[in-house]
Amino acid sequence: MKTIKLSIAAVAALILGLTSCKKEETVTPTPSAVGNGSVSVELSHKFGMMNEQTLAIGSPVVHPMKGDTLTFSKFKYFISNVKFKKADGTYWTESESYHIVDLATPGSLKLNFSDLPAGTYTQMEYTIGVDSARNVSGAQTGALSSTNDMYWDWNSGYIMLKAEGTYKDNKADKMFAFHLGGFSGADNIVTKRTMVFEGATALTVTKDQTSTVGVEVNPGLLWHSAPSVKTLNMVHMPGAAAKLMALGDGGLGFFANPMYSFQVKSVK
Amino acid sequence: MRKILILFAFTLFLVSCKKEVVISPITKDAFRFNQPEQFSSPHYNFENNPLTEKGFELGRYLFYDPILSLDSSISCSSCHAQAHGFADHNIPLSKGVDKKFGTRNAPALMNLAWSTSFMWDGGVNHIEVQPLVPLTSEHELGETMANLVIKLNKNSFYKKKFKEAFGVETINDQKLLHALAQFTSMLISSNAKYDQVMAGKTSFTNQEQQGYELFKAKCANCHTEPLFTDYSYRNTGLESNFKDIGREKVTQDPADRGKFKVPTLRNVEFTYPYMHDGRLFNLEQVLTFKSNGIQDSPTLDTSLKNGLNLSKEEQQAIIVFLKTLSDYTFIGNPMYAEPVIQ
Ligand code: HEC
Ligand code: HEC
Repeated sequence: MKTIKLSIAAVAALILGLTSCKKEETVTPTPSAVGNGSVSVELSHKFGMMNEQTLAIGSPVVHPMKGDTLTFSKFKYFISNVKFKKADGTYWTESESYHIVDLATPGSLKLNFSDLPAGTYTQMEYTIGVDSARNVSGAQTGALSSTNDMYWDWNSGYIMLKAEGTYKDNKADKMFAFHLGGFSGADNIVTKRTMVFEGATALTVTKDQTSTVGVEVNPGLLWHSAPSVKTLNMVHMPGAAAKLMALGDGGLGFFANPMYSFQVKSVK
Repeated sequence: MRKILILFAFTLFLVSCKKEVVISPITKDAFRFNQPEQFSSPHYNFENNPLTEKGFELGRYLFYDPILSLDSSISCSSCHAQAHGFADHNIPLSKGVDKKFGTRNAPALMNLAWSTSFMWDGGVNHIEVQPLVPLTSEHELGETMANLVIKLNKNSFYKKKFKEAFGVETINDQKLLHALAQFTSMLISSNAKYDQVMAGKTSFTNQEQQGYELFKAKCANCHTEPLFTDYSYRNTGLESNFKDIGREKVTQDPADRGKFKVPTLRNVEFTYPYMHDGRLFNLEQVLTFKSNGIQDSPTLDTSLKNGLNLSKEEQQAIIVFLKTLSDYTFIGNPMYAEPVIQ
């Protein structure tokens, strides 16, 4: 008996030793008996109370609450750490999961995930922004490369959202530039979210096929709590203003709004 | 036997989490990080950037090569010169590619692997990303990272060097930053007379000893041995109406107004002029200031509220002690010198 206890302790310690330092869960997509398929999450950007305006680079949109007429020249943000949860509770986790969604680059509006085991998925978990670990770990590659111009070098950290363009102020065109970031302490705007697939938008992954999830994104929520651009037209560091836009009062800003900033509209 | 097994398992558990300096033995005389005995283990542990001789050599080439600037006019070494402890060529502020002066004095570069933050205000949180500031600042090298990567990929010398160092066919910004970090983190100074004395190999003169005692009493709360900094930010009373708000720029906290990172004092004899804006030209001026030039303001460090009140003789003794921090094996180390491209 004693022998068994001791060996169990030893084995447990051994396992602990082997697993305790793993940085993140790595789920190796094991080709299951049912095979693997793909999911493409297609983001279409909207503006307005009912998502009635289409947001595109260079075309003016009107903010429903603040009345501002905004023409975006740049709109980019990070989506990261994507995981799909299966009906049986298991997860498929994307490795090196960092994506820049860039309104000026049509290809970036489709997030493609391949090699998911076939089956029914109930939700996608993801993060808007870049987790704090990658903000403090030195030089990175891919979406996190410094060549993407989404990094503050003088105050180390990722710019998690960049929105630039012009607005009308008494017929004059003026510039706005919002660079939102902040990954630690009170300045943290990194937001974990969940997209639920149920009912009419249930998600089934089928062997060798691509399921398409249509999502409407409404960046107008940046101004849910933030004042009109006529009052605040520039944010260029972490802090209260960045939080107001990203998180908003009561968590109703663009990064955090549970209902309206990212809405699943269709699954095909 | 069972006990041994358990012990072994637990040891494995304990060591598996220890961050260790990873060194790839690639040469006969194993190239490695020379951990000075008297220092703690470094903060930068090469975790994602294994140190190799080829990587270090590449970083060294890059550090000295003006290819990194927009108009190929200046390199890192233009502002960080070995003879001056890798501080600037004894000028308060440096000019970048735009021929304009920056606002801060180029600090000495040494023992950076122990630093937890970089720049006078500590705005940079990792040694690998520090070069992004000089590389892309218009007051310094004035490049864009995207352009720099294109430029390096067109250069056959660097194509070859990056392949040798990292095994890559295409150069990317990460590998460029990794190479520079291999060079900068290997700039280790730990062999001054002070170190010899501490190791019991030689002794201080009477005046040096007097200076050392005064230093421990008046200066070491910030300039803590053996690295001669505690890596904190302090307002030392250079001014009361701040032209440069220092640490507050990063934290946006008024309690950090006018605070700057405590610099190391190793090789301080060679790194003049002094302070974040290079306003003081010699150690006599520094000591006169610290004795009775300190200006009061709400964020002034409490240990300096009443000045340090050092007599001229005491000031002189401290200066003599500070010169025992000069490490000729560092400023003369051929490993750090400008490489000759064959
Ligand atoms: C035009 C002059 C100039 C050039 C060129 C330059 N530097 Fe600097 N360097 C500075 C100045 C000034 C600072 C301090 C900046 C600050 O605190 O805001 C600095 C700070 C640093 C620091 C931080 C040291 C510390 O202890 O906090 C490192 C590391 C460094 N430079 C490395 C480099 C490297 C590597 C290069 C080349 C890629 C380079 N520098 C090019 C002027 C320069
Ligand atoms: C309260 C902390 C503190 C104390 C005490 C202190 N220093 Fe400093 N020291 C600093 C800081 C911070 C700086 C950088 C200030 C700046 O640039 O604005 C500095 C800068 C210096 C410099 C210039 C170094 C360089 O590379 O520019 C020297 C030399 C120096 N101190 C020597 C001393 C001596 C000698 C004493 C004791 C008589 C002393 N310090 C006491 C915090 C301190």
